Amino acid sequence: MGLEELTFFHPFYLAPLSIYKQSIKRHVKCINIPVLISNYFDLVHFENPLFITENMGLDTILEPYIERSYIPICKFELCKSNIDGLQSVLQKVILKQSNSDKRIISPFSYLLGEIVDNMNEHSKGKYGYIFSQYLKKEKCIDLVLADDGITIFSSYVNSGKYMDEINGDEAIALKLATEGRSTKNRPDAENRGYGISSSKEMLVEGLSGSFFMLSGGAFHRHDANGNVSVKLPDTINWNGTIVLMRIPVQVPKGFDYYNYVR
Amino acid sequence: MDKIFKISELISTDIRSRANANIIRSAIDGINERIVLDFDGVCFISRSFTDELYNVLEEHKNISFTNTSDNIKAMLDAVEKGRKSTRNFSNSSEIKEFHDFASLSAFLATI
Repeated sequence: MGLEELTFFHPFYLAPLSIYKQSIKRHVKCINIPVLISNYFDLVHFENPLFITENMGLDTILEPYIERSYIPICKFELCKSNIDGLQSVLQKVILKQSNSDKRIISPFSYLLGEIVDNMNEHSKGKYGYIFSQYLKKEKCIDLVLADDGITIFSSYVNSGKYMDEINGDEAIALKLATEGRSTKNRPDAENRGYGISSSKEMLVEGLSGSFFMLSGGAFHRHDANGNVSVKLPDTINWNGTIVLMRIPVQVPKGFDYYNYVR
Repeated sequence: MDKIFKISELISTDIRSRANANIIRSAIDGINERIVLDFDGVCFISRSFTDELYNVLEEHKNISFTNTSDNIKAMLDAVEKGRKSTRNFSNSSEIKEFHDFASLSAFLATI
């Protein structure tokens, strides 16, 4: 992969490319990388994501990053590690980097917690990934969360739920997931499926942020310009799910976190 | 006699994963006394964990909470209310399809 024309690498492309390189069986090599980009690749652990575990003293390892604008691409085991503990440490660093409005703490915990929990509960993946970049001029944090498991469409297929509505269409599966149709409701209740739907609502409508999700052959976008699920061309497919969130660090006046909790 | 469990010691002060409710399930398994979950020191509970916690409450009718901060109480109340309400699903998103890279690129360029 020749990168000689590259002058900027958007976080929403950088982390997925790194994760893709880890997950495919063929060797992918990036060549002719401009020096600045190559240095950035090293800093963010592009070639080898930082494998984080609960016993490695993550507080100490991430302390130098408090003075930077990003955390490196991190990889963690799903369903095994103390994911809550890892999230707490990562979040502390990310919010210190951006000197965020203190009122962002609970929403950020909610957004990060619900999406990572979805990976644990639904993806059947082995690893999760996280990467963040603070953009000072835009006053926002670009946060990337990804897993290497089954897609949202496959999750519905495995559960056998909503098959008539989905009708083999991955974009419809994504639409249902983002609207809150869960594969795991109790027989007598509709108590689940709030993770993505409420997170999107909180982020986009409450905080004026943006939410993007890529899973299998479908992409979902919810921002100020619209709320749409897209069926991608047949040659585009992601084995797993990536969520990309642009989180403003300044909380709008009048924002009430509990308005978005159901 | 009440059996008290300090959640901050049993699980954590910052609780996000739904599966953490299984720690409570295991801890109270076989206990016949009244159970009190003490949330002193717990600063955050996620919506998912709270929902699963209410599933635990439905399995064991003799559980109560104590020392819940305003944050924790607000989350408990919001999820309890949501579980009792009829769910209204949002249906506001549209579906688009792109068969070629040019049209997909044009769409992505608007992000």
